[in-house]
Formats: sequence, C-alpha cells, structure tokens
Amino acid sequence: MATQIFPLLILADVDGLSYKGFITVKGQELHFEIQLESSKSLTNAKLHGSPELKRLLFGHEKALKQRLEQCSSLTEFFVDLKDLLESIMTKEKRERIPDESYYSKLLTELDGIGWDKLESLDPLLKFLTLTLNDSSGRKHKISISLPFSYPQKPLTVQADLPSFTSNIPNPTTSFNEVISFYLKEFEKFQEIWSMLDDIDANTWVLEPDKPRRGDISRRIALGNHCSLYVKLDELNPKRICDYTLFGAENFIAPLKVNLSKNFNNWNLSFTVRQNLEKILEINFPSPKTSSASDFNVACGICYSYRLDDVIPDQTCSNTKCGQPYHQVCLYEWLRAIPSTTQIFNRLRGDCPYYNYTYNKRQLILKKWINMTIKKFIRE
Amino acid sequence: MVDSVARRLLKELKDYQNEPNPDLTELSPISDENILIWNAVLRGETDTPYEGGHWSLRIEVPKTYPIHPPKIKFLTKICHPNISFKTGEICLDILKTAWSPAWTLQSACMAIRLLLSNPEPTSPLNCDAANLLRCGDFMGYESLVKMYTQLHAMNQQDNEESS
Repeated sequence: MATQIFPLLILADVDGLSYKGFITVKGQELHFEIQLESSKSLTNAKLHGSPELKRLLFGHEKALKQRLEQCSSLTEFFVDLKDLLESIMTKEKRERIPDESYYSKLLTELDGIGWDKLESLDPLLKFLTLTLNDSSGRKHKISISLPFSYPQKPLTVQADLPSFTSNIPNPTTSFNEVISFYLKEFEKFQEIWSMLDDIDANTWVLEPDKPRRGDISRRIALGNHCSLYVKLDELNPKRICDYTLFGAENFIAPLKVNLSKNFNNWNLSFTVRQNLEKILEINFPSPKTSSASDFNVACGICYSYRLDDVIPDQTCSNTKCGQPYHQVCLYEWLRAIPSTTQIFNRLRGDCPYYNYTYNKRQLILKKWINMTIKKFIRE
Repeated sequence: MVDSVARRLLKELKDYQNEPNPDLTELSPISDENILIWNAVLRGETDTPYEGGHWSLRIEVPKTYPIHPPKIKFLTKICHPNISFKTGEICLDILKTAWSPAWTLQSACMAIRLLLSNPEPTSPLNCDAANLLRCGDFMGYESLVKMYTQLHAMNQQDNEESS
C-alpha cells in the first residue's frame, strides 16, 4: 500500500479515494492531497498542495496528467511524482539567485533615474526596458539586461537606432550613464527621423509594415501596383543612397526617365519626400487623399497581402492588368500549367487573369498577355 | 500550403457574405470543421426552361487550391447535355483544363449557371438531352428540361430528398 512507502501519507476517507499528507523530496516535506474520481483509474484525479509544491509543478501539468493516465496504482504514481519533483528541484538548484548587492544596486539605480522611465520589468528582475523622450518628443525604448554578477559586471544595453550599436562603447553599470549616452545618440538621428516621419505621415508605406526607429528604408506606394523603395543616407539624411522602382514596366519606365533627367535638381532645402515628388514629377498618394485598401492590393492567387511576411512583388506586364502576385504563388501556378516555357532561369507563362473576364454571353474573353518572372528555386 | 488555402477560402466566404448574390442563394462550407467541402444553391435563370428551379451543388476544394480547380457536382438532379443525370458530374472547361486562380468558388458557380443556358451538345454527358438539341428539336428539349426542373428542382422538399 501507498502508506507503507510514504509513511507521511494517510487515507482520508473510507472509500480509499483520497489521501492527505506530506511527500518528502530531497529532505523537504511538501504538503499534498489527492482526490480520485473512482477507485479504478487515476485519470482526472485532483491534486492539491502547498504553495511550494504548486510552484514546483507549475508548467509541468502535462507531464503530471500523462503520469496519472499511465500509472496503474497510487503507489506507482507517488513514486513517479517524487521522481518528477526531484528532477525539477535539481534543475532549479542550478539557477542561482544573485546576491543582495544586485538588488540594492538595481533599486538605487531605478530611484536615481526615476521610476516613471521604467516601461517594463521581468519577474526575475533580470531584464528591463526604459522609455526615453528625445528633444523632439519622440519616444524611444531601451532594453537593458543585467548580468548575474551585477554590479561587478557592466550592463548589456540595446536600443533601436539606425546604425546598430548593441553595446555602449564604455561598459557601465550606471543607468544614468546609459541614459545620457543614448540621449546624445538620439540627437545624431534627429534629421533622418524627421525625414522618415515626413514620409510616414504623407505617403502610404508598404514596407516595413510597422517601421521602427532603426529602419531607414521605406517602400512607398505609387498607385497602379507600383512602388518605390528608398533607403536614406545615414550620413547625409537629406539624400537617399539607394532606390528601386517596382511595378509594370509601362508605368515605371517614364518615372525612370524622370529620375535620371531630374536627379541633379535635388534640393537640400526640401525634405526627401518633396524632392522625390519633384524629381519623379508625381505626387505620392497620401493617407489624406486615398485609403490603404487602394494600395494593399493582395496577391491574385492566395488573396493575402503578406504571405510569410513577403508582399506581392511580381506584376503582370500588361498595363490593363497589372495584377500583383507573390513570387512563390506565381511560381506554383506557372509550374502547374503546361503552356509555361522556361528560358534559362526565367519562367514565361500566362497571367492567371488574362483569360478570366467573363460576361453573360461570352465565357472566356481572350487577352494574350505574357508575363515573366525569374525562376524561383525553393531551398 | 493548407493554411493559405484556408485564408483564401475565408476571404471568398466573406466576400460572398458581404455581397449576397441573388442567383447563388447559398455558398458556405458544410461544417465549421472542414473548410474544404462547400455547399451551394443555384437559382435557374429567368426566361430559360430552368426558371424557378433551385439546385444544390457540392464543392470539394483540393488542398492545392487555387492552383488546381475545385471539384463541383450537382446534388439535385438536372437535365442538361453537359451534366450527368446520374452522378451530377459537370463537363465545363474552366473546371478542368481552362482553370485559373482568377476564378473563385462563386464565379465558378456562376459559370455553371451560365452553362445551363449555353449548352455544348458536342461534348455531352447526357446524350438524350444532347441528341434533341443536335437534331434541332428545341421544343422537345425545352419541355424535357422543364419537366425535370419541375420534378426535382421546384420543391424544396424534393430538393432535400434527392440530396
């Protein structure tokens, strides 16, 4: 019987359905109760216990349930439970707790910078984020992780900045030093951020989805399934260092001409967006004049805009169609139809929408459109 | 892949629910668990012998949809040269070789509805109906279709029994 191996457990009712008592694990006595549903099986038995036992078993509910289902007798289950608790305790032993100076230093530091700057703090007090305001009122988040032997070892700090710096050049243990360093850093990027904010506020940005402060590139919607990718120059924020036009050739060809014709007229007294509009001789569709659904044109095959975080980047070359597709989706389709031809690493086939238009009398209206995509090789 | 199929089908379902189609009185998956099997109800076109009829369709969507076409068949008996009277199988190019991802379940059903008034007697699945058309007996054809429409597709109860 169970009580012979576990002398601290006693039967708590006449039917033999519940036990109460203590289970001894590594010299620690843990209070615990078990209530069975029937004398035949252990499935769905209810376990109660001291807060310490609950804490130890937290996150191991699945293993417990499995053991209850597998064990044929209570004794067997108690032995299993003891084993489980032992293994949990041994694992826990390895996770040492920092000494007292760690916590007192952390508290003094937080008092020093003001608790209003604290954005979040993990329950183990090892990782925290701060919110800082720069001179233009932009909010920034800084993540700090504290080493185990803090304050003997310096902090690891990360912030969202255009030029990625994971560590402060001079290792420090002081929160105040971290803050003053980053406030200085933020000032360096004021100009580039105001350029980016101007783009974000006045155009439809397709990529990145939710721009972070560190992102210095944007993909701007131009309408007609076309878009312009620009990357700002970190050292010279009023200039761009990289650009690409996406979309049907017929639409972007005149824009390319304008770009090469007017590029010398780039005027540094205007913002990047104003310059781009002047040079391309267009106005970007803005949130004031259009709605997002006009540009978030979904892939014609999977009907979604983002597929594994990729946006449709292939378009039908016919201006009347211009239907966008994900490369993966289009590849699947072109591979499936026999009329597709392959020339070196290019697939050439019919746009899925070319013969689609149907009306009452005529089922299929033939429009011969060819489209090409680079062959997409998976893995 | 299955995940993207489900996303597209949900979008199609939403589009249909947002803009109900009077000629397609029903279009929805038969159960919440399986989004790959749908049920649709077609209304016969007015001024055709199919006027007043309602036909149930069963749609089986492959896991490779929309690269490959859905399998659609009639559950309610229908008399048409390109539809098997026995099995409800449909002979329509867009459901086979002429399929393209541009079609949706809804537009495919509408194409089937269009096929009802535009039969192709040269590739028949129902030889009796096709023969009437081929020898030019339009009166005979129309009255045959009308009879079967009245017999199977007019009454909601009959409709359910045959499905």
